[in-house]
Amino acid sequence: MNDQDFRVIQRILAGEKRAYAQLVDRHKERAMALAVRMLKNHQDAEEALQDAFVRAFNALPRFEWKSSFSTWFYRIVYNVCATELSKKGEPQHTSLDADEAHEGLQISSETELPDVEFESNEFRGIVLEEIDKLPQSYASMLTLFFVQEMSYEEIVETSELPLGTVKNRLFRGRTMLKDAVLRRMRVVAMKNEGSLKEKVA
Amino acid sequence: MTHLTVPQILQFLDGTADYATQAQCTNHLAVCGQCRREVEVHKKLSKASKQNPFATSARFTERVMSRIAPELRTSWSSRILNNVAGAFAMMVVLGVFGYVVTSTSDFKLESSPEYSTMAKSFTESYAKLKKSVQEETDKMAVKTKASPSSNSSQRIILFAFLALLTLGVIDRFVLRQLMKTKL
Repeated sequence: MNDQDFRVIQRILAGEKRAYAQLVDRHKERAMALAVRMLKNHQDAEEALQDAFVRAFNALPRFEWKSSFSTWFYRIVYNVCATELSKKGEPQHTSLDADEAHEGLQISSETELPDVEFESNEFRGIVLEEIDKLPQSYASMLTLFFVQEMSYEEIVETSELPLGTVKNRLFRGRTMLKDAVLRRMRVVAMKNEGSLKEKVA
Repeated sequence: MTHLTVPQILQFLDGTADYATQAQCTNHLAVCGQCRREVEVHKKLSKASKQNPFATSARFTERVMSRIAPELRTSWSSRILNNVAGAFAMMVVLGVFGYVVTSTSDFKLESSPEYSTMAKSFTESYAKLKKSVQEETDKMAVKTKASPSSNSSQRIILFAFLALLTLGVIDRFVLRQLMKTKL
């Protein structure tokens, strides 16, 4: 339990509504990542996040302290975004998702690292772009895991999906991300090589 | 050699593998370059994936709070009142400052070398204003050498011009801020 959140929530429940701004400020950026990656649109994500914060405030007296505020709050964000998606008629589950066995996923024998700097801003930019391109069911899992730094169990609690599905989506999402990023990095490496040859010539 | 599976590698990296799998991975990685490369790639990806490039808009918290507790929101009338009061206070301060400066020194519009660029531009604007007034009021043309009475009229016009300019700048700024507000 986050002590700071605990103290702020106590103040809010005691009638100090203004203190809720501290909770908003503390959680809005990371929650925004989840909303954007689920809805794939910044403006829709911000509106959904506002709704989530308002719902969380109204539900705060019923918050039972069984989990951390952040896990509880991200569940609300996740549900609000899922509702938005279903309103738009977008599928929340992909066909790949049906508890597909992942145990047999062997590593590719072609995992050659392209000759590029893996600590570069370019690499980090490519990773973020490729996460955004993933289907929302995978991108949201990766966001909960990496940005919100949740455990599998916390993701299960947030998404209300079975543990097997969560693991499967995380494995698949990370594998898809790796393949996409390496493809992009190879193109970058080839371009760099080409421009170097041109300069030499 | 049988390589590690992707889930094994990821569980190994995340620290969620059971003891047997952990040991199996450690032993295998000691002898397999291909799996070590795979681990390395996933490590780099994990590190890069932790970034959060998304930010909410500047007034996000304010908008949430206005929905939760409308009574905490600053009303439009009080905002406008505050702005008008601020502009009025600025005008008074400028007026007093301008009066003190011009009444205690030999006020020359163009010859003093220590004018800043901004003061020069004000002076030029003043000169243009003066010229247009002269054209409009043909018969009341001001003589080239300023008399004491024309000096005081020049000062009044300058104060008014500076005050109007300041008000314009403040209003423009305030208006822009208000236009951005979505309540």
